[in-house]
Amino acid sequence: MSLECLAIIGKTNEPLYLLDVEKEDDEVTPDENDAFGFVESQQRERLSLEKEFMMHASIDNLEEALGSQRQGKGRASADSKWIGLLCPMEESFIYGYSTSTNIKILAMISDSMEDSREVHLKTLFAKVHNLFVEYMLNPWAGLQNKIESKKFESGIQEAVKVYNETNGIAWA
Amino acid sequence: MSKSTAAANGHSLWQKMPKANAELFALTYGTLVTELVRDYESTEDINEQLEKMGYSIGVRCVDEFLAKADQAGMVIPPCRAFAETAEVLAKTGFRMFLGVSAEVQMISDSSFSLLIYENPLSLFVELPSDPKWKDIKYSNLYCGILRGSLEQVNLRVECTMVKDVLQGDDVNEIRVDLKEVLVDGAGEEYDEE
Repeated sequence: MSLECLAIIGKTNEPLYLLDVEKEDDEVTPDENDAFGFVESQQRERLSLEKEFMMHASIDNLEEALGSQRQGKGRASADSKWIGLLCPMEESFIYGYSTSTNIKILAMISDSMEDSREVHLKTLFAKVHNLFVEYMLNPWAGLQNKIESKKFESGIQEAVKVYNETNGIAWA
Repeated sequence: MSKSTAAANGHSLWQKMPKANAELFALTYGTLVTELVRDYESTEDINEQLEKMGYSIGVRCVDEFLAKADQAGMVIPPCRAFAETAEVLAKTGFRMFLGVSAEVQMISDSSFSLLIYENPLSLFVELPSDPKWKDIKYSNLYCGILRGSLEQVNLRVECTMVKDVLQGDDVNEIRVDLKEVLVDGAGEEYDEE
């Protein structure tokens, strides 16, 4: 079970950060992948269009989940930020997490087992949330802009690596 | 004044000072710098403004420093050499106001470098990778503070940030050069007859 891609969505559903963990070198269409204009940051892994569509589709489910939550009890506990499985796609599951300022984090997990390692995933989301908060404290960070920060990116890479490793060990 | 007493004094003065939240402090300074960025075009102007602000802070800091030290019963004797001034600044002054100690590296009899490892002003800050930010001296406030406070004790100095952690170096280094020892005077308006 490994993380395929990660996305951070802002308040008005604009994408702030997209990460594709599996780099497919035989992708012949580099321009199509550039839907969000990531040409300038060559080092960043680009999210393939297909995955982008899947993430976008799951936002609908997320809105539904958030809407009903708001009517219910308030978001008091730490666990209430966690939304859970948003929508099962062909081979992968998309999990969501929402912060109290309506910043949403989506993770696509490729899963062949019906084993939900939700604990690890929750840790991953918590780490991503922390990194995001630290990034926001930078006075140069725009409020609605794409996230462009080396520290943030290296932190995410680290968190993703740890997640994939803990899941790999659990398998064997 | 020996190094260890300077450090001890600094530590005990720091205990007595009212504290502020470090994050609030860093964030406030961060917004100050971004406002300056919005107001001024060139990085030189920004650096200059930061230095001027630091100067006004420094002018007031030195009185507070000497008064608090006196109240605490510490004796800070007049410095006999510039090196002593450097030690007092780094170990007692910085420690009292910011809670971080600086290290002194004497370069010559009239100039030294202050090395600051932890900078409370630049918590969470990351400069954008645009080349125009190469020249910004984020912590230039310190240079102004040093210049202002030393001027009140009759030492005219020039301070510059030589190395900056935000620009990729491993330590913040402020170079302080003594230009002139000023003579006490009452100003041009008073003519001694």
